[in-house]
Amino acid sequence: MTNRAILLPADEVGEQATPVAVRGTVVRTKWAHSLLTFLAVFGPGLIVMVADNDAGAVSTYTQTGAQYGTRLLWLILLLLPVTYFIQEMVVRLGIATGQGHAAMIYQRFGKWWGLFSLVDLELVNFLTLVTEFAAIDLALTQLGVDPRWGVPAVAFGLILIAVTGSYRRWERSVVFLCLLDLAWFLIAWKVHPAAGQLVQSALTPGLPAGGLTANLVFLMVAVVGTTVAPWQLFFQQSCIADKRLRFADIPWARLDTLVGACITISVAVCMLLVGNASLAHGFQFADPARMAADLGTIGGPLLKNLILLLMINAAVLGTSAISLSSAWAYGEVRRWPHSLQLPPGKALGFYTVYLLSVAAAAAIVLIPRAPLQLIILGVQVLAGVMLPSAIIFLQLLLNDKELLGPFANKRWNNIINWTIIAVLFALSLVLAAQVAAPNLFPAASGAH
Amino acid sequence: MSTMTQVLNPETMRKSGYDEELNRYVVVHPLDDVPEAKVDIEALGPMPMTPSVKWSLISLRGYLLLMIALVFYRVLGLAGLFGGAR
Repeated sequence: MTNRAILLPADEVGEQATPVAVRGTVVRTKWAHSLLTFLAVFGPGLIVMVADNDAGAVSTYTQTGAQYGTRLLWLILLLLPVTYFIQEMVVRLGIATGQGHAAMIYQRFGKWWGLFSLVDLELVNFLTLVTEFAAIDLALTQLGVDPRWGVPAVAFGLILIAVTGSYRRWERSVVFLCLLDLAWFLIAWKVHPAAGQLVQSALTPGLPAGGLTANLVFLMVAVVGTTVAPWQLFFQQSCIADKRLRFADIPWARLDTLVGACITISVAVCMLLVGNASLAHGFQFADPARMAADLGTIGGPLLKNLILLLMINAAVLGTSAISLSSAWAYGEVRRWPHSLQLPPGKALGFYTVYLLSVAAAAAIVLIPRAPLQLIILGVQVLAGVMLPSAIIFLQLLLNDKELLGPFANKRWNNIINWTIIAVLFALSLVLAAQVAAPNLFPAASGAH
Repeated sequence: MSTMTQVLNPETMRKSGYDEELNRYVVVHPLDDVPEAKVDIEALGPMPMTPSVKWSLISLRGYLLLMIALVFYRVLGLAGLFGGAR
């Protein structure tokens, strides 16, 4: 296997092709070719999925486990095909058009709809970023680090990994952080889940003892909202466009997305199990950082610190992906240069949006007595409400045969996707009802 | 690492990465490859929408604005901005 510069004619110039030198790796066997091609394409799918297990997700999944044990495990497993099918549409759209989602909505639906989508995205993204830094603040405090120093240091690190002027350098850094997330498996193993209980909860969908309460409705919607978020659509499509994935890469990009979906759902299950361990030991759940401290009294300081560090890692991954989705979307709409391949001097607007997103969210968290829990609550609700609307634009674009040709949705794609949209809408309506009439469901906790 | 100077068969190379003449596969990272021609979206212009699709989207927008207002009202209420928070 050798690295060589080879010559290929450019597609666009047709018969008058002038050979252009491109760097490639020469291999002799088909399997080596397949493996290396997959590794070259690998990244956007994994990152979008693992970054989705952000601070809000850690909070939601652990709280679900801490209040209802493993009883809602089936719901999390059910979200594996949902999250895959939605992001698979993004893969096709990104590769076929070579443009980001925000640009696509602007160009195909017009400025009015484009502006609405952009404002929705930037609003919910910014609020989500605040929750990421809130989680970092909580975890640092439990670790004994002063957040007044720790939060700006994390924000500075996040800015550094994005402004290198190299997509590959950014991707490698973030994939490394994604792999660190696998340590959740170690923690799940450490807290000794009961295999029989797990299998039963996975295979027999049902509600916890106590039935449908306001708390349970909120958590179920939050679990769905945290697993499939609007920013993911924008992030993965822009990421694919920035990486310049080719038509031939579609099968590998799908595999990348599937691997990412399997990892993110498995890690979500691990988080649920950690919450379940907290419940089994009789601890009252307040937030994941407090839960880590409680579990540390049983499992030792290593367990506590590992959970806290993974919480920070989740928030860092989420912040990086969400800030970039904001910066890419804004850059696409304003037609600014917007690529991680460009040095800051050549994409000043794009990097400024990224920098401002990170810095402003970090600054808000440092405001004394900011109502962080309330902001987290509001963000979860907003994301759940906005998700179906975002997916409808995606579904319409994927049925645009003029735009996608052979990559447009097939009949079976549409049946699956409209079913997902209908379920998400129903959940959003339940949430809406709960927001409008907080006493609609019994307030009593259904914890078992 | 060596540099080749001959032009490879672009058709077979692009589809399978297999170069029949030299019996080998070549893997090119997307960022190192020649940019592909994609759909010209500017030339396509806005998507033609039937009135039912248009009105569905407008209804969706109305619902979303109402929900956002409702969520903010509820959150600000919980924050005690209206005095009588629950």
